[in-house]
Amino acid sequence: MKNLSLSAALQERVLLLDGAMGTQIFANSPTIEDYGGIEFDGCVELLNERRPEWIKKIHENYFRAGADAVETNTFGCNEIVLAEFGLEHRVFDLNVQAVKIAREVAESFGEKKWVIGSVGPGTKLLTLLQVDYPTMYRSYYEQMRGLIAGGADAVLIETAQDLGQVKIAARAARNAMKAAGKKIPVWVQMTIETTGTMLVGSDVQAALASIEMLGVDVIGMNCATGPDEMRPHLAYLCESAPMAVSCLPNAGLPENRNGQTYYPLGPAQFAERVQGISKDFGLNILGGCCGTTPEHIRALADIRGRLNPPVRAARYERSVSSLYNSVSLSLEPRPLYVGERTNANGSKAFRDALSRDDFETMVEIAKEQSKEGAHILDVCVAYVSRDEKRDMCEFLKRLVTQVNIPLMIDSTEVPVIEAALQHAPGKCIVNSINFEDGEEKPRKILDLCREYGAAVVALTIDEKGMAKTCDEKIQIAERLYRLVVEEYGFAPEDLIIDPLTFTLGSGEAEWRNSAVETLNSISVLRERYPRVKTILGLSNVSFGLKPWPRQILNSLMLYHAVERGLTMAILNASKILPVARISPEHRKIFEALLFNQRTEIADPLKEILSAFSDPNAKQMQAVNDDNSPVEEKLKNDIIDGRKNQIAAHALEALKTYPPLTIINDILLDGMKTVGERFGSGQMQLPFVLESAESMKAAVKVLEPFIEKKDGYRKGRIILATVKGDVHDIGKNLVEIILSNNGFEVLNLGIKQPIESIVETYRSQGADAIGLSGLLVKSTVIMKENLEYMAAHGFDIPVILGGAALTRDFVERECQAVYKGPVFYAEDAFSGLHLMEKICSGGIAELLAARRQAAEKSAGSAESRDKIVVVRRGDKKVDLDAQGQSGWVRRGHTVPQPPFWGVRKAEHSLTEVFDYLDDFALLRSRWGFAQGQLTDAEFEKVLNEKARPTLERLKERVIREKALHPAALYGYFPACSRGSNEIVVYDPHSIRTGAGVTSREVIARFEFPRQANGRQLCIADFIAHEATGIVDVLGVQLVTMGHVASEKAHAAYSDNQFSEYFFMHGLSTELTEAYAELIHAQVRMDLGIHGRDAASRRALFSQGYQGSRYSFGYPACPDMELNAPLLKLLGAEQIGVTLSESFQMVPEQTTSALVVYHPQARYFST
Amino acid sequence: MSKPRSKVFFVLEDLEVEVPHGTKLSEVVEASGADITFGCKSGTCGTCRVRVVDGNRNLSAPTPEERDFLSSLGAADDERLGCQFCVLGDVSIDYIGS
Repeated sequence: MKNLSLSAALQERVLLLDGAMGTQIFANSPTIEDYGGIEFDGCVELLNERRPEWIKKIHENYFRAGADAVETNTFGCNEIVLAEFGLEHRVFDLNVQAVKIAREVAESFGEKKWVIGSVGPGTKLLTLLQVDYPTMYRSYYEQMRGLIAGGADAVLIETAQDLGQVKIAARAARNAMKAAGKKIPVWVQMTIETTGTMLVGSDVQAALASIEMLGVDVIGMNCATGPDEMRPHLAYLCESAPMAVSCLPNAGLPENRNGQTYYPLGPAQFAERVQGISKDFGLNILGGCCGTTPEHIRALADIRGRLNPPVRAARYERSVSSLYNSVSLSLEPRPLYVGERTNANGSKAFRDALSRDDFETMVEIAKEQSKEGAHILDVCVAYVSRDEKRDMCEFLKRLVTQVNIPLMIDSTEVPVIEAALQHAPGKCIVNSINFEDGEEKPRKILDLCREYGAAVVALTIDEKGMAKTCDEKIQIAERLYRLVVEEYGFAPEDLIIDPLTFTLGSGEAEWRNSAVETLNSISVLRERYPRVKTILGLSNVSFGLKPWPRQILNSLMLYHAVERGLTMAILNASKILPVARISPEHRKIFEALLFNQRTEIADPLKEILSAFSDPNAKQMQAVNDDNSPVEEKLKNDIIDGRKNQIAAHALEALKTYPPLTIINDILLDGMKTVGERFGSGQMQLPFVLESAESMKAAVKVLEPFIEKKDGYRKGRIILATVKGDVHDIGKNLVEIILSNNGFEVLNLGIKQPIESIVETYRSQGADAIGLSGLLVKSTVIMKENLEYMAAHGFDIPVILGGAALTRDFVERECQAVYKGPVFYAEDAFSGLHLMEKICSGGIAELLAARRQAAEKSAGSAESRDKIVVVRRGDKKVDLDAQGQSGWVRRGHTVPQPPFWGVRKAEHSLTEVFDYLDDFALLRSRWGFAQGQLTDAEFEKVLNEKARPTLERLKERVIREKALHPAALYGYFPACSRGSNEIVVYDPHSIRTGAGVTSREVIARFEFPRQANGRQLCIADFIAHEATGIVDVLGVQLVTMGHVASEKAHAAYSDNQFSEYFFMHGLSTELTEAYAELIHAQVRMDLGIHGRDAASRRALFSQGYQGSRYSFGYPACPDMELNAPLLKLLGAEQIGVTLSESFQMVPEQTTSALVVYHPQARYFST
Repeated sequence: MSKPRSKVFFVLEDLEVEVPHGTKLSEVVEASGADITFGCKSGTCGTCRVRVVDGNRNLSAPTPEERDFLSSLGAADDERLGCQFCVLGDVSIDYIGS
């Protein structure tokens, strides 16, 4: 043990570091005299020299508390910070001195103790251009030299706020070690703020991608927040980082108490939370930051024995990163799009901007590409007669903070590449190396990639020139692999081979087979080096052709290359066509060109040149429906939901048909197909909504040509959500489907009293009234509405729809109170079907069909009646003396909450997204159900539509702050009373101890009890007042704010039906996510989080101890109880109110009672 | 012509129910008052997760939603979502809840 190296010790056990240094120093209340003069006031690094005994004592206390290692008092001991005191010349010796102090104390202990050189972030941010690269590098190099010379066992680049700074400090450390001929570990700890990112905006994934490349031994976190806030980030690091992980949190989130910073976590609580993270994910190094003391370290030392050294199978998916985000190099679906327009040789607009030094426009071009779907940005500023290095620096300075996608540095000049790598804080790709002039230059570039942490593109070019045949390409690729992977030690994923693309547009015999050779080489490379990536400069293939045929040829080349395994392509993402949209004729001749299928009589290139010779030839002529009649085009526009071209097609059709014929015979025929496909499970709701958007767009164009405005309407319906119900998504979907299938819809909105619905009917007339509502209570209202209408002599057909309805209830009970026909619509399309019949004299037919079905089921009345209970066994649970379920075990220790009453929580949208149940969102809320699709077809829908939509909306919601998460949660003393009631006490009224003096009841909740089975009631899970034990009840409330509905409705009003539907579903599911997050916090507070499931999926299926009950669900159906609950919570603080029907407003809000009892689960009453 | 009949045994409460072949479990639960809770009924929330103690073969095959949900949880082979299957023969069922 004694001579164990630091690295070896890390393998064997969990290592304990020290706690805060600064606060311990200030506990000595240093005076001007201690600093040695007014000009040095606050320079704690100087105290290494002036008050070494203080520092010694601090180290000693931490070692005594059980720390294995202490950090030197050198946090700000670099040139930039010391220069503020005029002490820049003292950097080296103050560092040496600080290490010596710690070393001396360490060696006074019998066992092995280590000294870690602390390297803080300094006072200037590189990425925000507050300091230049050489100055910061020099500043750190000198500090590293001092720490190494003094004999530190490792250097710790800590409290890092800026990836640019981390890269400099790590490079300075390595170079200082090289100069000193000594190698010690480099550790990096970043600081992630409560916003979920580092100060300059990097998320933890971007940080890992960037830092992983620096050859560091430890990655971790310290400062800014407490253990709870660090937990999700540490979880990611532990699951992904291929090196050791450290955790040095503050003693909780700092609070401001009477102007003093206060850290809420005492030693025991602190240690418990760190232990929780360590147990769940596996940390290698523990310690503390601000607000922690030797006592905190002692508490960690006490639990350390219970933590085995983590055995982590970390799976790091190699990535590249920008300042903000990371992008996996193995992203599926392939390929990664590398934007080609930030290239002075490829884009005229970019080159023109460059030539007038217009860097802002260049940045705009970069941003556009990111918007158009590029994953990575190729950056090339090489242009004759300009200073490429200067241009690169000027451009990158502005670019790196403004785009969130990683960069590909495209240059052949070594000094330009180096300058670029210094200016890019993320992990870049360097484009490129080759063997054209031998190995000297590629080695220089690889040295840079290694020094600054970059992946590399390698071209198949050698001393003999560009590789043309597949064999030549593979030979050079093998040589590249040997050099880059085997000799330089790059991960295979960080080698990206470009097997070269040549133009087929020149017609030269030499190149005719070049695409075939390139495509073949991609197949071979994938086979031989499955981890190595491949890339093509796609647009070369079509060089010399006109824009439109270029687009087709590029798209087909990409398609076939991806089929063979291509992983990246440099291209203009907005100019790539889905292959399905290329007409079969065009596909045939372009593929003949691509695959060199030239015959004596047919030359594909000639065919292409003549087919596209007409200067007026429009782009659209080449898409799939090119030669199809306009009727087909329109119908397909509807079915495929293509709203961009449908207007043009509709106008085209007007030349042949009157507008009404277009709508009724063509467009509605398309919608009919959509309805059929939806009904048979071949098409999901979001696609249906896109079709409706196309329909709307076409009708908008045609409407001005219709003489009699409503001549094409098939009928009219009044739609309303009933009184007391605020849910309008279902009703609005019905409106979308009906109005885009030829019906006029008068949508009255939500919470509509029957009087106003009837009034609308009186004044405007209609063929039917549609009533909607989500709540169980709404079904009762619907029946009352029918009674009201019957009493007033109406007999207009009524259609009912809503989640809580059943066909039986509508067709029997509701029909019984109303003279006219009452129909049940299980979804929007069955509503459409009903309206079609109602408006074409088919009511009798509908009723006859209904009668028949009823008779049939009565005839085989078996189905229901024949479910026979044979035996209800003896296991029937008995009720205890209080009338509560005997199945529930009692006498659990009551957990102690960290506070009584209610607190407001603060979380960012990013944190809330972390708890999003994407399975429920995609499958249920968004309606991406597999239906009749095959697994492969459905996977395609998920990959091409559902998941990208989620990614897009996530980005949008966070960027636009489109939702305003807010939450309240807390704890109250409570008991159950009688059999079915929970009473809640005022926390201030409870006097603990033997004689309970008073308990003031401030809220009461009564719950139903199961009639069968375990005979459960929620009250059973809270200690009964007869036991004398006062239990604890959690309460919580989360909302996404009014903005949630506003955003969704803005899309609805703008006819963006699918966007409306997606936003509504997402905000609703995010409300659940936030409830899940707060519930996790509650379990943590109550100390029962040890049973939380490791995976999010399992957690979402109640993978935890206890339960969260929301009113309106089976165990507690009474929504009226939201009134006392919201009062307890003080809901108005976060803008939540209750409607007259006891629904919470805003709609995206959910409340709950939280019960910790281990047997508490969901159940029905 | 009556359909063949199956026996459904609910272990938790020692309840035996006889049902026509092909009856949905959710209908059996509703009619018999068995102590099993349903949530979304679309195979995405997991509230109705049950363990098939006996007669796993006598249930209709999982729907894609059920299959994907259970596999994402890493659920054991004898676990099913109560809202997604029909009874095709004698089975014993225990409630797990979510």
